[in-house]
Amino acid sequence: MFTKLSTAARNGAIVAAVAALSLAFAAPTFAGAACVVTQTVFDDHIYPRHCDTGQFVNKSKFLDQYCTRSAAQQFCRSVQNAGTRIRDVQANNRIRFDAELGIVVGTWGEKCGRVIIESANDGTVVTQFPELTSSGLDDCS
Amino acid sequence: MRDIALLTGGETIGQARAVLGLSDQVWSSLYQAVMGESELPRLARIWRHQYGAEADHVVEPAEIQALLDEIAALRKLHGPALARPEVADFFELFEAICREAERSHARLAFIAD
Repeated sequence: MFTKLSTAARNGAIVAAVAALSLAFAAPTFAGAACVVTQTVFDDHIYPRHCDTGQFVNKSKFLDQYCTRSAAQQFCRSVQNAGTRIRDVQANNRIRFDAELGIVVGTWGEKCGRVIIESANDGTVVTQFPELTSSGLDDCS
Repeated sequence: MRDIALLTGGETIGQARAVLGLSDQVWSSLYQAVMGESELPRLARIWRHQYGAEADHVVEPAEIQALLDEIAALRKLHGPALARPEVADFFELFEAICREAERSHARLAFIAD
């Protein structure tokens, strides 16, 4: 398992994952507030729900290499800037982004991701997680 | 998708197992209907967010009948919206879970992504 790898190997895997996302999505940059994963939302929401397999067992889980704050930050930018990105303004003015990422990012084999930000002017991430299906996207699993 | 679970003991929402999901489609299709009616405060508390920590919510057993009453009121006010197959299926199961929670004195948990 990933947790048994050395620190160097773990860091290497994180760098490789981030590089893969960056290369895959050198796509048009979203012309609105750029997403920001705060330490609080990562520690209090994203990690326990979408990384920790010991709790919230019905929730989709990221692969380990996406479960640091810096990797989570890269993930949200990758979704926000992906060429396949679907952007939807919700009734409460939050912005939902869904995108095919072309690589597996979740433990159930998910290849799509969803990011929710506060508004068009406030990129603070509310949540983000892997998706196995997503309306309008064909290749999520 | 928001998970709906019954909390029958002292477990936390992180330990709960979902018995039903409130999908994006059902949530968004009823958002205006629920949020636009001032007499549906319990449903509005559930509906006002779909994502993030603030979307988590627990309904105590003593509040469940009032929640069922609000669903009945919503059906009277917005019958056609609730008659759509996906929405109707959701509410059929949701009401059954509410009644089960009431019978077993369980709390009803809404757990966000």
